[in-house]
Amino acid sequence: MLQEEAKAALEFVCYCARCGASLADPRNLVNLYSDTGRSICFWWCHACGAKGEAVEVDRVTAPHMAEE
Amino acid sequence: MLSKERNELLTQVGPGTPMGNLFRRYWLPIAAASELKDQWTKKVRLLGEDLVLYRDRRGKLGLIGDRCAHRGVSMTCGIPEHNGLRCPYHGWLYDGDGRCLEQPNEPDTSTFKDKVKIPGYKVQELGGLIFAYLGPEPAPLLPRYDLFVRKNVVRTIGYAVIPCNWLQIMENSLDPTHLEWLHGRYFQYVFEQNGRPQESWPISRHHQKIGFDVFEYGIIKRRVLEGQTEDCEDWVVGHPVVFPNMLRVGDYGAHSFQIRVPMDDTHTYHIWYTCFVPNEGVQVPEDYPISLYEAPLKDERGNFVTDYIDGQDMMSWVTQGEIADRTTERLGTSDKGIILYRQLLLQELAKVERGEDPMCVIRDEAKNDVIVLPQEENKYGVGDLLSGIAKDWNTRYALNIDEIIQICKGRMSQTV
Ligand code: FES
Ligand SMILES: [Fe+2]
Ligand SMILES: [Zn+2]
Repeated sequence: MLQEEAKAALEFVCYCARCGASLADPRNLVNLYSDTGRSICFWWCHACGAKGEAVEVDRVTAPHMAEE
Repeated sequence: MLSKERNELLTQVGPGTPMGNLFRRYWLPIAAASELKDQWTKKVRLLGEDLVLYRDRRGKLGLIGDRCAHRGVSMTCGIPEHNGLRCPYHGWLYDGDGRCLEQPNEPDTSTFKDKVKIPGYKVQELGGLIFAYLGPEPAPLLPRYDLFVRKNVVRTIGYAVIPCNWLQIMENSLDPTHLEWLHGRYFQYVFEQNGRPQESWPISRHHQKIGFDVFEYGIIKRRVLEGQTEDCEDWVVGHPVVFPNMLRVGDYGAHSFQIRVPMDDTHTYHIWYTCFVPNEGVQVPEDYPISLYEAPLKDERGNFVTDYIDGQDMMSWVTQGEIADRTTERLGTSDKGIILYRQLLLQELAKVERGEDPMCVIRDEAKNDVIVLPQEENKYGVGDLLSGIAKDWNTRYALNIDEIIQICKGRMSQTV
């Protein structure tokens, strides 16, 4: 993923998945990292303390089927 | 990768900034006690403020603003008095709270001095260091972390003023894998250039696994290196990053705190506080002095000094830029500890903003007799690795390092 795409991926998460508060204020954490080529947004909500990771789903695959 | 706003919020520590407010909840070391033995004042830059640490004629320490309220002369050039520090220019006298006690050339009846105040902060000494507290009252206790109060050890204090932001220095401590590169492969490359044998160097094994757990005093770091299993001390015990700004490392023979004190957004006062542990049955001489030394960042020619571990770390911190640009960083899975630390900073900041005490602000005397921190000692399965390579660490700049090693081996306890 290129720098520009990574920048766009950083904007993937905008609201807390638990309480719905906006994560725009810098006191919330939205931190992008990469795991085996996938961009992951780690987020932490200042309002309710929830944290999670979000990955944009761009392709649906079922890898276990291949073992058949 | 972070947004620009988030990078600024996390790195800025000046008065009124969120992270500055968080740091103002902690006692921060600003000098070695020995520095004020043969001089009366020391200029201190702390959290974006210019201050002067001084000792009055009674021997009492004070920390006040460096600029005289009259016309701005540096109080570092001041004259110590019985009960405070006097400006050299026109003699205004201030006490440790920054209150103006005298204005010798104003009329006797003047109350002008009562309206004049410069900043004045609390200071305390522990374990050979002087700590300052810049936050709201009531001040918490000065935490008695184990190495500050440990008995029968030889201490050294190293320092450096590092021309970069504090956060990239702390993030280095949440980044275990740099060990095998910066202090492993890169160190071997330095050896190669210096004509020193490379094979003997013990730190280049690959990391199989790293782990991070939040605990009462910060984050415990764990690692499993190639050839180790999960029952090794490096994994089971690990060692902590003490919130918000201290790393603890150690082994059988030496334990060390690395304390990162933000001077301002682009300078960090770094302290290496080491306790050398004597061999079983060896008694360290009472009152053996704590030596103080500077760990150099660069040599006379302006090149980074990279033939010791801390010089390699400093090179890495400083070359990231004055304030690392996290809007262009590309983190991978090995950087998860860094993300956890950022989250912890924001979480504890949220506590401060709710009016609560953040992590490691201690007010309970019973808890503060000694705060024992976890520390693996059989490091990488090599045992006394750190002390064994004391000359490849910052401690090599302690003028008495050879003597310290002799004392700890029990060869000099009678003669010193
Ligand atoms: S490989 Fe980590 S900074 Fe270059
Ligand atoms: Fe390092
Ligand atoms: Zn929330």
